[in-house]
Amino acid sequence: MSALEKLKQLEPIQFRYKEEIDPTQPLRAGFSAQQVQKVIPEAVHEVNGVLMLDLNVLKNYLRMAREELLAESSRE
Amino acid sequence: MTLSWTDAIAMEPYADLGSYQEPAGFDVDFFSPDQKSSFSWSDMKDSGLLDKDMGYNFLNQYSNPIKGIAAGSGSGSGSMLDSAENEDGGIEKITDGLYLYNPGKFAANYAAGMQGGGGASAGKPSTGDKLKGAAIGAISGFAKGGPVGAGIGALTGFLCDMRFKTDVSPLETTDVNDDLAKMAFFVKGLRECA
Repeated sequence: MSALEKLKQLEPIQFRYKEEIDPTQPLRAGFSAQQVQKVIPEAVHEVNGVLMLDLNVLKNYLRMAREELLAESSRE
Repeated sequence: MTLSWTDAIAMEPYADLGSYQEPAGFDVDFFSPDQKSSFSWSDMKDSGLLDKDMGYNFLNQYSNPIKGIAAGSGSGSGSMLDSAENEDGGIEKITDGLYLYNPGKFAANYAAGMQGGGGASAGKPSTGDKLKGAAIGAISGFAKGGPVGAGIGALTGFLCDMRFKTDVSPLETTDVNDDLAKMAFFVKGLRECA
């Protein structure tokens, strides 16, 4: 599956951190680590029992997707 | 004249092998040559094969690369400085209505954002704060490149565990326009264009 297809499978969400994490609780945009783990497992690390999203990996996927998009647009 | 082993052994020690002749070219006096090289640097420069500013200063090669390299790069101006700027990140238009976020600054931004994080000792074993403490410890440890041994590259970790979130719904808007939000909106755009 291409990087572009994998990125399309990610489900962007809006959320607030729980009050004990962030008392100001602004509305944020992002992803669920649990959902990302199903699509791009290498992008999620478990640290001390907490799932963390590794943006280095997602960054590489974005770059690959960018190349695929540019290749598509050049063919059209 | 042919020599055999027995001839060589029986040969006089000072056999006449003919007169010595200097090899061709050894008659040149290396200290005062009578010939000069036909190669001329000025001709080379005038031919256009060399960049006229090449070697002007050290940084010149970055802002004004050698022509051959620039032509072969196939992207942008070919300047190394340009490619470095592209690595810095930004929004790039792919087609109408579709923009690509180049997350070149993710690592630096995240590292700055993590400076407020607590240390691993903040992880208290009490029931209510256990997970929170684990999160803070994880962030701190992750930011220091420890637990997963990812070193400096591991600076780009975001706390995306669903157990720390509330009011979760499909993405519509945000109050915080950080790197993660930009990426989320980009993926949202990809999904909507598909």
